[in-house]
Amino acid sequence: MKLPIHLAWGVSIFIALQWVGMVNCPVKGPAQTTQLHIGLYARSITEPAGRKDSETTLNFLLKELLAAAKKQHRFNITDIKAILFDDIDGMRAALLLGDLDMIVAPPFLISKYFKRDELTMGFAGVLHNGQPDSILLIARADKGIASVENLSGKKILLLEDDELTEVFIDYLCLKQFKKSYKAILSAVERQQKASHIILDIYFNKADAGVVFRGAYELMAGLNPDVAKKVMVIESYPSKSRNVSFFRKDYPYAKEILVLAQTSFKEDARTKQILEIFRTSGLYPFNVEELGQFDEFYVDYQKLRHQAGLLPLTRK
Amino acid sequence: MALKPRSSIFIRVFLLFGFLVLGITLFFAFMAIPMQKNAFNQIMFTQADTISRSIVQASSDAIISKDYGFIVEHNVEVLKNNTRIFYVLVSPSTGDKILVLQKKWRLLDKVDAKLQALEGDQIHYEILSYENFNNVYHFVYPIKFSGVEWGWLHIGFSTEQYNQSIQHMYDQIIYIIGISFLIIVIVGYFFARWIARPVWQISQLATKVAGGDLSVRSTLQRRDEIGVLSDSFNSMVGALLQSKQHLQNYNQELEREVIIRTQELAELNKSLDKKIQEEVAKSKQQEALLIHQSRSAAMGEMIGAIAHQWRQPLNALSLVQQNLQLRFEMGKLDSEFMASNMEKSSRLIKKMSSTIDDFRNFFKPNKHLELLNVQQVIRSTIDLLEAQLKNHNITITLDCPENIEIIGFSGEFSQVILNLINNSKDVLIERTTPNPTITVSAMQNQDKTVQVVVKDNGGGIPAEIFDRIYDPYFTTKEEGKGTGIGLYMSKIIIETNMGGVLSAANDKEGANFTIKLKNKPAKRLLNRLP
Ligand SMILES: Nc1ncnc2c1ncn2[C@@H]1O[C@H](COP(=O)(O)OP(=O)(O)OP(=O)(O)O)[C@@H](O)[C@H]1O
Ligand SMILES: [Mg+2]
Repeated sequence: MKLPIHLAWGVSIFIALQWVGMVNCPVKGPAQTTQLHIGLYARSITEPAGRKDSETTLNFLLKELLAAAKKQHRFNITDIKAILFDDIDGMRAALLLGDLDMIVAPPFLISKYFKRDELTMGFAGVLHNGQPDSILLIARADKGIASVENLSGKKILLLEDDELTEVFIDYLCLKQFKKSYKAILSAVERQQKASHIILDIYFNKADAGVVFRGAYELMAGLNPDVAKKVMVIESYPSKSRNVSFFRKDYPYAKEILVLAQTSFKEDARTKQILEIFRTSGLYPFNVEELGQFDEFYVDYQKLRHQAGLLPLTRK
Repeated sequence: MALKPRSSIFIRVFLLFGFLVLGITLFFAFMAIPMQKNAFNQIMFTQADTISRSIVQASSDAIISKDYGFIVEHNVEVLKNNTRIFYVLVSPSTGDKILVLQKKWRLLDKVDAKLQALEGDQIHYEILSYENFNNVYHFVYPIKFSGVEWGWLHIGFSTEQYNQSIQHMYDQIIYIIGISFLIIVIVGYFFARWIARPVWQISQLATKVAGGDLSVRSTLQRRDEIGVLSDSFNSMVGALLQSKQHLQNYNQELEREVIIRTQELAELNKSLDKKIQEEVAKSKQQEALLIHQSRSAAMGEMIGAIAHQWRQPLNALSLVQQNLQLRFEMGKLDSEFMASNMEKSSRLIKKMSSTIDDFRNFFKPNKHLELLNVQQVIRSTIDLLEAQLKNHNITITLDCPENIEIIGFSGEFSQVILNLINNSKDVLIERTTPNPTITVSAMQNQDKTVQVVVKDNGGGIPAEIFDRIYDPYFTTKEEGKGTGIGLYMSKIIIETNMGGVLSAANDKEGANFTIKLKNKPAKRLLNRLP
């Protein structure tokens, strides 16, 4: 089954909803129509596949699972939909209007653009070995880059439109050189895929890059030589690349979370999807945990200030 | 179904059908194998070619710009989506080679010599083992850009599906053969039964018919040759039955006829018996009558003969009487004369008396067979006729030895001699033959048979009547003189009663009648003895 890694998010959550239906219905009596509209931040979700493909695949899978779920359980969520958003503000607006019941986006963006009381607790996926899907600074071992200080004059590859990774390299450079990364590095190139960044470094097309641990481990798994030649220099412990939150007051939020930690794990289909996602499971993610990113951003702003740069404002 | 094992038509049709269908099935199945293999090969080739082209096409920019990351990523993706590909080896003419496996990839300094040998101008493929993969469909695709050789793309395909297809094909062939075998058995059975059963049935019926049961009929209702056979069989049996009934009727009729005929025959036999008895009785009567007639005739003759014999003594007696009267009238009747005349007359009377005795003897029926002296019998017979013959001047001679004897009845034998002499006498008188002579001769031959011949010189028996002289009542004499039974009786006496032969012949003088007798009694003669 061809399933982009991040689509697994919506799918996994959807599967959780089957269990809600199964548990609730005998209690609540006859079917009651309700909706589950999931908003997904396109740039982080669709990294591996195209946007159109992702949307189509996602909706198709949701419908297929809905049909299957209806057969198995008295499942009362009849209106289920996945919507891709390109800008995080639009997504927030939809959530506030009640058009969305759930959002899936990078935690850094959520921390930056959403108020905490607009959300209630959600999920985060972690890597199969329990590690967080951290942000990594990687470099070719033979280029003599052992730490951030060796980055000067090197060519680096960054993910396109990924704010956190850019903030991360900038943060490191500001801390080391008191200068923006743009001033330190000889060249900065953007790549759409983290895996491609790793391969380009492996094939000597660049000296360093910023990627997620999940991608790095995937590439190292495919070719152990990659891990030998492409070394991790720095990391930032972001728990997951994308996290999800329910809209505040979404009636099944709690049930879905409970199920996600119990019988949800046993479901074969869910396991299959999570395996593609290289995730051992979905873990509850508190709104409070976004504080890590708030702090990081604050530290970053301080470093900018120390370097004499203007603070960044919200777009 | 009651088809017996000896129903060889059934078995033959069944086997023929079976082998035919099985043969055709096998032929087509084994025709299909190489074709199908070829088709599978073609499919493999087309797939490999398509995948190679698509990889090269997708990677062309990356190849030119030496973006090996893209090449790796693309091929990892290709392998992820195509589990039938074991590996992709991108082999540029210079530099590192990229080997991408399922969930793995690595760089190689150089390509195995084994694979390098396959790198040429043209697409090449081979089944080989590589990287722990066995039976790999290894496809080598030369990568060229604007005629410049950049390198080669090696793709290793799993032959599992190919093998599965082949296996599937074999399975299908086995399945088809199995099905057709089943069909052969079922359809063949019914087909063979359809062919053989009516034949068998009809042959069973024919066996019954052969056993004599003509009531059987074929109930087969078909619109083919077997139906025609069945109809013909029925009409044949019908015809048989009809002809059998005809035959039976005919037999019964015949039996009735035979019974009737037998009865008729029995009746006929009975009446015939009666008739024969009647006829025998009649003929016995006739014979008796004839004998009586002949005896009467002979008696008549005898009376004539007696008359002739008595004439002379009667005349002499009359003379004696006249002499006596004359002498008495003359008074000269003396005792001497008287005595001499008395003696003379008593002699005459004695002579007459003996004549009567002779005749009486002649007519005395014979009671006993006796040994007859031929000479004596003939002599006494001639004696009876002597006076008559002398009267007609007929000379009769007897030439017979004294000692010839025969066994028989003297009356009968002398009657024959009498008849023969009388016949000669009649002819001699009638024809007024000069010097009429009758000669009777008898002799004994060396074989002890006795032969008596009565011969005359009367001119013989006319030729025109020669064959009829023995017929009863045949006579040439005028009425009242001859009855025509003389020779008939004589023939019966000699041939039937005495076992001899009586034959007649003419010589230049007259007729010769010859009697031949065996010197022993004939059976008939002995039978008549008390
Ligand atoms: N010796 C003979 N010579 C020539 N003809 C003879 C002589 N004897 C017999 N026949 C012929 O045969 C005939 C038959 O003879 P047969 O004695 O049977 O009869 P028949 O003499 O005519 O009559 P009968 O009964 O008185 O004897 C005679 O009528 C005569 O014509
Ligand atoms: Mg006569």
